[in-house]
Amino acid sequence: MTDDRVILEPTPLENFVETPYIKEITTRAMSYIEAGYSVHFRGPAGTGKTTIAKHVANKLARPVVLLHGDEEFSTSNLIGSESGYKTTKVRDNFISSVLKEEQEFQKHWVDNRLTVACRFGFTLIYDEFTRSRPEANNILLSVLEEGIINLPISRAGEEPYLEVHPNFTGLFTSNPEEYAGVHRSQDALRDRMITMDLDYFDFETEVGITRAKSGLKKNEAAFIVAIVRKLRDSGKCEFSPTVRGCIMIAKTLKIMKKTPFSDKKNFIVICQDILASETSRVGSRTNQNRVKKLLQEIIEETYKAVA
Amino acid sequence: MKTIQSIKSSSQLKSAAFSKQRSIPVAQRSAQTELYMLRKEKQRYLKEIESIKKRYDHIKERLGLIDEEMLELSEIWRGEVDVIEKEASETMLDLDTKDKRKWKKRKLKY
Repeated sequence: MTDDRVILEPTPLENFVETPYIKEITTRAMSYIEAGYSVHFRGPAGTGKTTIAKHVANKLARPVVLLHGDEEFSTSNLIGSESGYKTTKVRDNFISSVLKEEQEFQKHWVDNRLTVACRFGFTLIYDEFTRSRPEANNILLSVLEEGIINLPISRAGEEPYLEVHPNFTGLFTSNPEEYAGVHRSQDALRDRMITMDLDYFDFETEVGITRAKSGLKKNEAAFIVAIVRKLRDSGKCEFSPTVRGCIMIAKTLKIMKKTPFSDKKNFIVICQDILASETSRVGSRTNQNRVKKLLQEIIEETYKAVA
Repeated sequence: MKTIQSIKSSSQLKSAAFSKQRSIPVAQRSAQTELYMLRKEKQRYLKEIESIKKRYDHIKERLGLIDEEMLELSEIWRGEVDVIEKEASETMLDLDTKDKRKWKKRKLKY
C-alpha cells in the first residue's frame, strides 16, 4: 500500500445552490444507493453530473476517491500493480567460522484507487468513465455484481480475492453526446448500475447557480438565463448552451462592473462571443454569424419583454 | 380322455406336473399343528412389539437429553459469538482509526 494516501472530503462551497430540483435528484440517488446500487449520472455537458455526484458523496459522509476516465487507463490503473521490490537479507554468523546468508526479493504491490475504495468502503466518483476503454473498466463488473475484486495471486501474503467493503459506493458520470475521446460503455456494466439521465437544470436552479457564482442580482441573473434558455429551446444551435454559458456571461459583467441593463451594446457582444463559440463544434464563420444573428433577435425580444 | 391315436403331434403332450395332476392326495396339516404355529407367530410378534417399545422409550429419553444439552450449548455459543463480534467490531474500529491517521485529507469543493 502507498504511504501517501489521500482521501477527499466533498465540501459544498458557500454559494452552493440546492434547489428542489437538485434535492429531488439527490434524494432519488440516495434511495438507489441505500438499495445497494451504484448510480450513474448521464447527461450532456453542463447538466451538473459531476457536481451532483459530489453532492451525493457529501450526503453519504464517507471519504471519496476520485477517478477521471482516461483513454490510457488499463485495469492496473484502477486496481493497482507491482511497483519495485522489497528485499530482506539475513546474515547469520553466530558461529564465527560459519557464515550463512539469505536474501529474498519480493515484488511490492501498490493498491490503486478502486482497490482502496473497495477495501475501506469509500465512495468512488468515476467521472466520465466512458473515456476509459471498456476493457479497463471490466474489473468493475465483479465489483458491482459479486462484490469482489479479483487481484493477481502473485501478491505476497495477500488474498487473491478482495471482498468489497459494504460501505463502498460507486458514482459514475458520462456524457452520451460527447464525440471526442469516449467509448461506449459495455451493456453488462450499465446493467449493474442505476442510470439517472440528467437534463438541463430548471429555470430556478440556473438562476440560483448563475447568481451564486457571479454575485449579480436576481433579476440580472434571470435575464441572462432567460436568453440562454431561449437560445437552447430554439433548437437551431449545433450544441445547446449550458448553465456554464450563463455563468461566463454573468462573471464577465461583474468583472466589468456592468449589468445587462446598463450597457446593452456591450452585453450583446459578450453574449455573442461566449454563446456563439459554446454552441458550435467547428466554429465556422457561417455558423457563428447565424448564431450571432439569432442571439441578437432573442436579446432584443427579451429586452422588449422586460420593458 | 384322449387316446394315443387322437394325439396328432408331440406339442400336444403335457407332463403330470404341468397339468397339476398328482397320483396321491395332498397331506392335510392337523388343526392342532396349525394352532401351535400361529401361537408361536403371535409370541414372536408380541416380543417384537416389546423390543420396539423399549427402543421407542430409549429414543424418546435420548431426545429429551439432547434437547436439554442443545439448550445449554446454544447459550454458551451465544455468549461466545457476542465476545467474537465485540472483538471484531473493536478490531474494525481500531483499523479504521489507525487508517484514518495515515490518510491525508483534502477538501473537494463543488
